[in-house]
Amino acid sequence: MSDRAHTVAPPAPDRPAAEEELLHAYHDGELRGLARWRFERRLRRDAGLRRELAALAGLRKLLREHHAETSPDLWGAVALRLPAVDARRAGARRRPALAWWALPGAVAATAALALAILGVWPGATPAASGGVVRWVDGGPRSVMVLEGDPDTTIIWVLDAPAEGGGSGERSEAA
Amino acid sequence: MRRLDIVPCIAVAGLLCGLLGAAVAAQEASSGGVPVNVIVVHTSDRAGGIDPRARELDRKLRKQLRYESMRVVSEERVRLRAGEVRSVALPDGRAARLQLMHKGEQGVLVAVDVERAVKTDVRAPNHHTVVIGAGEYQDGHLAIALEPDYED
Repeated sequence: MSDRAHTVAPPAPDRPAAEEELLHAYHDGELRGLARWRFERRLRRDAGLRRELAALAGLRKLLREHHAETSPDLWGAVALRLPAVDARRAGARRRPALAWWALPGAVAATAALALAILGVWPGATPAASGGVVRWVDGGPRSVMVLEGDPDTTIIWVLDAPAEGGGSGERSEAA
Repeated sequence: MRRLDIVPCIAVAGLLCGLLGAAVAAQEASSGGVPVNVIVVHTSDRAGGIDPRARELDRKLRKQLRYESMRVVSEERVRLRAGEVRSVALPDGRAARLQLMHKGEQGVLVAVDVERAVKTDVRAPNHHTVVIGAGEYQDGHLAIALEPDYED
């Protein structure tokens, strides 16, 4: 499947897909026991890997600070949630470190997120950490995420599909 | 066999059973794949009732979406494997592509790409339904419901 980059800094060195997956699993606290010990040993030896892990944690913290919720009166009793933290994409996606010159861009992105009307976002949106939706891109259309039911998550495209496809740029993953 | 010899035997047997279970689960994720129920439905504001096969989905969606009828377009049980892309056909010629990215304690991380509609990454816990709108179709909307359904 194609990769959907949502980057703000120069890309990190390419990593195998399996290692990328381990990095994210470790970041999410999903590695246990021997797998965790082995990965932590690799972290101690690989400075690049440590940087990528720090970038993941830093991005999450930055976006968490601007997380916002709203519940507009839309279609009667619709609870609207605007996710605001932690885009995750395993595979051949590049995980850049958040360089100092990228900070204004990141701040502008989170400020725009906070200003979104009725919680809809016409474009790619990183999702709240711990939520079901980790990343969403509706291209030119607004997307709504509904999580009113404990065992159901709804991702709904609000506007009509545009001819010619979405606006997100993608690169093919290996 | 003395009584004191039985306890280590039971412990070893339990350990072997646990390892076997873990191996089976890992094999399911790696080779057999993760089972996911996929339903494509068409909702409309026109009268028409609820497809009996979609009653459970209707129960979950009715509180948050407004429609008068729901019809099941297709339903299947797919096995998602890491690194593989599965396509689900939509009635208007488009397709929804699914790719398993990771399976962990919090559920399965799946990348979903609905042509000319939406792209999303979702981490769905087991038996949690994710409904993804696939845009307008005829007099209503298409939606794809995904529900991981694997042995915990």
